[in-house]
Amino acid sequence: MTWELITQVTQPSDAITLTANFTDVPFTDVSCFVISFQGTDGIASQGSQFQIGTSSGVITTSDYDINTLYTGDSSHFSTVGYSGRVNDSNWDINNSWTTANSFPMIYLWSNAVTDKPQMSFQCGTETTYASSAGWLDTSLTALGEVVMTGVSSNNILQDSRLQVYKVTR
Amino acid sequence: MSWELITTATQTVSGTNLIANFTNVPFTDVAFFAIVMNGKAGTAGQGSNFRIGNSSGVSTASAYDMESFIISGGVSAGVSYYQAVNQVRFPFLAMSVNEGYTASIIYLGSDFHNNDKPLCFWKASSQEMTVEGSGWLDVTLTDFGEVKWEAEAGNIDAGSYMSVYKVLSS
Repeated sequence: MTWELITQVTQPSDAITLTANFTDVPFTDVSCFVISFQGTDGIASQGSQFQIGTSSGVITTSDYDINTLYTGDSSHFSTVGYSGRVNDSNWDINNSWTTANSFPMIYLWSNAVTDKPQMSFQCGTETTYASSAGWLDTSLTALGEVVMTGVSSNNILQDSRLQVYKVTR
Repeated sequence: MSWELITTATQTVSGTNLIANFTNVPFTDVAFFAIVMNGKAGTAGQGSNFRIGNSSGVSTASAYDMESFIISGGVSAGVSYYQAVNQVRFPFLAMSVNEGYTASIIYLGSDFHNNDKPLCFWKASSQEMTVEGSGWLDVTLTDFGEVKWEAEAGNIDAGSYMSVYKVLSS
């Protein structure tokens, strides 16, 4: 078994964030991490976002780049891009078409040459499919925390789950 | 999910390619294969590609088909090498918006019924783009034993790595 569960956290009651905090795992010790979320995050048309960091806390600087394709009910097809200097302070998962339920599967690396994180995810919701990739322009050599946040202070609802795996190499 | 690591190849000195070669594993013995790549591959605006084969070497035939889309800066684009427009490799990250720093995961299987020809799809990330696509190799391949990650121009930089997994079916 080369997918090893690091931690699973379950939301005990509705709250703005859901945090997985664990002992730092160096990126050099793994092939990649897999982060899975299942639950209800935010309200319809808002959705959620996530940040990563070490066990001391997530990175909150405006260094998160992302490029995403959204599609839904065959009438929505759009792309969102924050690249170059158009940085954001998190990685958005959902957008204005999504319902509040979502299931993203995120692959996370730190670039083997620059030590800057790269991620790629696919996400299903009741109404949309999202395919995305992102870059965090801040060095990160170990992963120790992932925070999911409801956009606009909306909640991650009770029983939502966040799992973090390491894929060994 | 039972993933077993077959091998990890790490680039010790920058070079034009990175090869993972291992004892042949029949496609019929696994559910599918997974390949993880991470590093700096190719010069900006050129990117990288990959080829597959058995432990005797990768296929160099002009038989690689690929369908892919790219999102960069909020703009989407498609890339298609279809039927008669075959390539000699999968140019899965050979995009002008690729700055070279890439991480990707590739799932590799077989069509079995149609002469045992490989099918794959991938999800990749770089600083300026997301890439998602699929490929088909019009060559019979019953065993998987080599994958070659190659820069379109420039190098696969030192420190880059590639891990190959087999996902068990029983």
